[in-house]
Amino acid sequence: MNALGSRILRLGGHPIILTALLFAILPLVLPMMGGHISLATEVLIMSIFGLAFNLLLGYTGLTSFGHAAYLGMGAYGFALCELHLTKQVWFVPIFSGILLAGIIAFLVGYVISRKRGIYYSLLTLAIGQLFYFIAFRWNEVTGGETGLTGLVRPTFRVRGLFSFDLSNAVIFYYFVLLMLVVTIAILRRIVNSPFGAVLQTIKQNETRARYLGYNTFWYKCACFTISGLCSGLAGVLYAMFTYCAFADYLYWVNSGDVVMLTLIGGGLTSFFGPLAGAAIFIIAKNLFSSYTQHWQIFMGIIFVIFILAFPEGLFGIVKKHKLFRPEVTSG
Amino acid sequence: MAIDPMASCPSAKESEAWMLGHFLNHLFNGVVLGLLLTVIALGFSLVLGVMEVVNFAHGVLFAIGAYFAFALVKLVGFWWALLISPILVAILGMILESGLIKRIYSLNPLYGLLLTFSIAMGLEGLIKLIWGPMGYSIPAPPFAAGFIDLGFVVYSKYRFIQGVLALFLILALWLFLEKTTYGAVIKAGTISTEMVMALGKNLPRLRTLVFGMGSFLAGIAGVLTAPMWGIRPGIGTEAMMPALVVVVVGGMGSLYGSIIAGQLVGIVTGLTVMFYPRLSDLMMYLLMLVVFLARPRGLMGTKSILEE
Amino acid sequence: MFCWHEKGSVRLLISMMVLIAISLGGLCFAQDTIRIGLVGPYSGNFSYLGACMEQGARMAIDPFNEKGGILGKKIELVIEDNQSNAGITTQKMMKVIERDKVNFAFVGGGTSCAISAFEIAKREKVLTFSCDANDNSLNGEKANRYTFHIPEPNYEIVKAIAPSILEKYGTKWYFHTADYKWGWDIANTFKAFLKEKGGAVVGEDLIPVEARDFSTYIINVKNAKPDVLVVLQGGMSGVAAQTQYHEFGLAKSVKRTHPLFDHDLWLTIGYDTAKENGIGLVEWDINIGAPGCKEFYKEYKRKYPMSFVPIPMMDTYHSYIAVRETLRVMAELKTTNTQEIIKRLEGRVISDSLTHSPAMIRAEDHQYLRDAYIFEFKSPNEIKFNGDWIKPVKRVAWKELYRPPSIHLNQEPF
Repeated sequence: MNALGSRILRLGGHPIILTALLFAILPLVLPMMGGHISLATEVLIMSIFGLAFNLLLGYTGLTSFGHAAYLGMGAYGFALCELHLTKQVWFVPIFSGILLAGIIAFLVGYVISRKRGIYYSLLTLAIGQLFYFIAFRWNEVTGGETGLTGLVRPTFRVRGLFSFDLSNAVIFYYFVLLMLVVTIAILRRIVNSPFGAVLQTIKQNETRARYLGYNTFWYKCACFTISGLCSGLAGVLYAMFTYCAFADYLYWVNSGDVVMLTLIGGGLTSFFGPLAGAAIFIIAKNLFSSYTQHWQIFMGIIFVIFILAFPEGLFGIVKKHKLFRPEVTSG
Repeated sequence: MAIDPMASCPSAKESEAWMLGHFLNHLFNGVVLGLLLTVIALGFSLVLGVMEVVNFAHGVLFAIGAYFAFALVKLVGFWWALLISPILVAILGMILESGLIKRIYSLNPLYGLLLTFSIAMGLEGLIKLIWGPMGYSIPAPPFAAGFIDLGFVVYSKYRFIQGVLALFLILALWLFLEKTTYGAVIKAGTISTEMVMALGKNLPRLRTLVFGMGSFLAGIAGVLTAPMWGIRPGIGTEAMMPALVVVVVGGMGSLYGSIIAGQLVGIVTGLTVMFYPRLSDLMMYLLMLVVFLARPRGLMGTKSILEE
Repeated sequence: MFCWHEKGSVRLLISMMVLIAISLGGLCFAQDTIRIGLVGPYSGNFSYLGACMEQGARMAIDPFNEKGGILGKKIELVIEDNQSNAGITTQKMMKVIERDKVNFAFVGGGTSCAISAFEIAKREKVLTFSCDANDNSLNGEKANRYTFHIPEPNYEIVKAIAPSILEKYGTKWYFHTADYKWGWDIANTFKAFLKEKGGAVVGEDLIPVEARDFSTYIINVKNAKPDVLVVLQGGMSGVAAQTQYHEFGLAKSVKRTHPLFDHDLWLTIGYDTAKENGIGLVEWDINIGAPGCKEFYKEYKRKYPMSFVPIPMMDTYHSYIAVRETLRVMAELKTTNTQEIIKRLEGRVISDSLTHSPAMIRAEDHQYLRDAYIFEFKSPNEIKFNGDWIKPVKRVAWKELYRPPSIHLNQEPF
């Protein structure tokens, strides 16, 4: 086989491409089995959120307990832009949402990056709650309890060629999938760069990193900002998904959910952990809550068992199990 | 917008005394609220200090204390319920600890948090299964019902008694920790568990007991607040936030810190209600932020493994 | 630690997707039924509402099913817990629409949940009822042709009860207002009314939603010596507020009224505390004295003798009406076509509405119009069973109560 051919084969086996292909056929397969696309879309959006969150947790060792605030900022940024600026120029609202989340994350990161450990985490919790209260009360801007509604999903037009109307559930799914792939690509690049290496050093031992000469404050701040930007993207997509932005999106329960799903998926040791976690968490929650009104009992039991039996998370087990250990390829 | 004090007090001197009375009233309010917050936070702080576990189940144990009391009040009356309910909660807590929680001590503290969070979710679902989603109420015991009228200060008798009980509890805990050998061992545990083991003390049993004590405190706080807050499945999460704030402001691993912080939060909240009531629920978080940025370890905190 | 290839992870992902697809496929309803989506709270702030909505809906559905269903199809209820959360409401609405293909849906859990559901109703063109929120926007700017609003809007509630408060207590009012939009809206409406009638707002405390300690506010109102304290609190803070008013013996010095006095609130705080509140407005209750109420109660007790909810509450009634009328229209028109059903619901007069005047669904804003009832609490010897606590003192006919609609949904295209 010639060089080009083998290169194509290797590309085809590349994890990102494979994953993307897998997710790509899902909307076609799912309805045949009686599933519904919105659930899959939701899993993808939460995967983005989880990946953003894991940049902090898995790679830098920082737990943020108020991360839903940045998802909410993304949603509000998108909504406010659409309602006050423009609905026509499609990328402006999207970037507004991401930008708002990023700016807020930077400001918060600046304030808290001197801390670490439990203090860092509880600060993020307090700040997250503050943002929730502000969103709930600042009626003029956020709509308070009645929220911001009447949002539209933009239509992508390539002049003269085709247009994609995201109002279609299937097309929206693919759009979110595209966003997920982009996020994965960006975050992979970051964690595998020298910057990412420093983050992992900080996770191991921040003091040692500082003694090595790194200004850990700025690394942590930058990391928080990047995480905020990606969470903002998740928020923008969520606002598009629901056509609304509510203060509920910043509620602390959502922050807790992302922590839970990242850990369960094995985010502490695996880049793709949050994807697995999002899938398990959201699908389990949906299945249980559809079956019984007492789903909280079952969810509680399942998670307790999971945490006790598999603290490494799903992809943590994967790494250890012989069946799934990556093969050593020759050449 | 509060009321215009001048409206009901014609003379200047009278109005001054009135304002003072008003202020004292709010202050006293804050102090009693603070005592209650301390009791809620103490159990949480104890577990955090000795086992370094952020016990998210603390809130639901608080709620269970209230529900047990509701079930018992009809049978044995308020005072017996106040005694028995926390004991039942303590037993439940010890079962949870020895069955589930102790398995994650060696792991990243995050797991303790998630485990207790999951337990809390499951138990809250159980509460709804057993007692239903509607709420209940427990009236204050007849002895403590009604109010005291001291002229310009009118106060609820029950709250008074509650403050006294809270004080009594705190004192009892202090005595236990300071004056008994077992208390000394627990205090040592908050500083270094390895030393405690090296000294030959039975660490697992110590931990179970501490968790039991924390659960007892959570339960009794639940019973005490039930006549004021009502009883609903969601009251657990309501107790968690103040507990967290008090422990953080007071400092991890410091019980005295929790006492002082409880008072601080209570009084600040009480006085905020007097001057700028709309901020009073945010005040807790703002206070936390301010203390944090000024004194990173809290008012009296000591270095703990949770900082890593 | 973090290896490039992670083939193992991908393999696991694949196997998971397969499992997921299979499990998602597993939950399917039989095709040939009429399905109604209930998206309501079984957890979170309003955890009792879901059960009420379900009970009301089943009381409407069962008579139809006993007669063989509609158009030869049985009627099924698809129940989803929205956890009193707006985002989850959206997700659940999408689920019942895409997967279960419900013919129509009804929603509860507060204003934000209703609004998020309304948004989906418009996009997916699914008939949706709001069964528990009272915000003015639900028959106003947030409504669309696919949505219907059953409960009374805040404006009409205030308009119904304000004259009675003025008459019974006096002109000097003090407010304990919940510090968010719901509280502000209602307080402003009351204040406008009061001003018009020459009354005075002696004071107001804006109380944060999370507040659990009311001692300061109680002190404030005692010092202000108003004719009446108007309590605008709901949810947990409502429970805490009322419990503490009782604890402090406020009733001895200040009369109070809790205008929007929900069933679950008075059942939670108990009779002794509840009756300290003079009069209140209830959107519906078994004791309003309208034809059909007693029979409804008997039927409720027959079906749900062991329920934690001792009496049908107003949201039970709202769900009952929403489901019953829609099913009736389906049977009358012999169709499940949403747009036909909506056209028939617009302007529909309902004579057996369990209220005195026949109720109507107004065509312009899809608002359910029915009489408002002011009540007060019975004395202990008048109470025959748990929940039998109130008696009506005044009825405000809807024709005199509702202001003209602000929108014209019936003229909008589908």
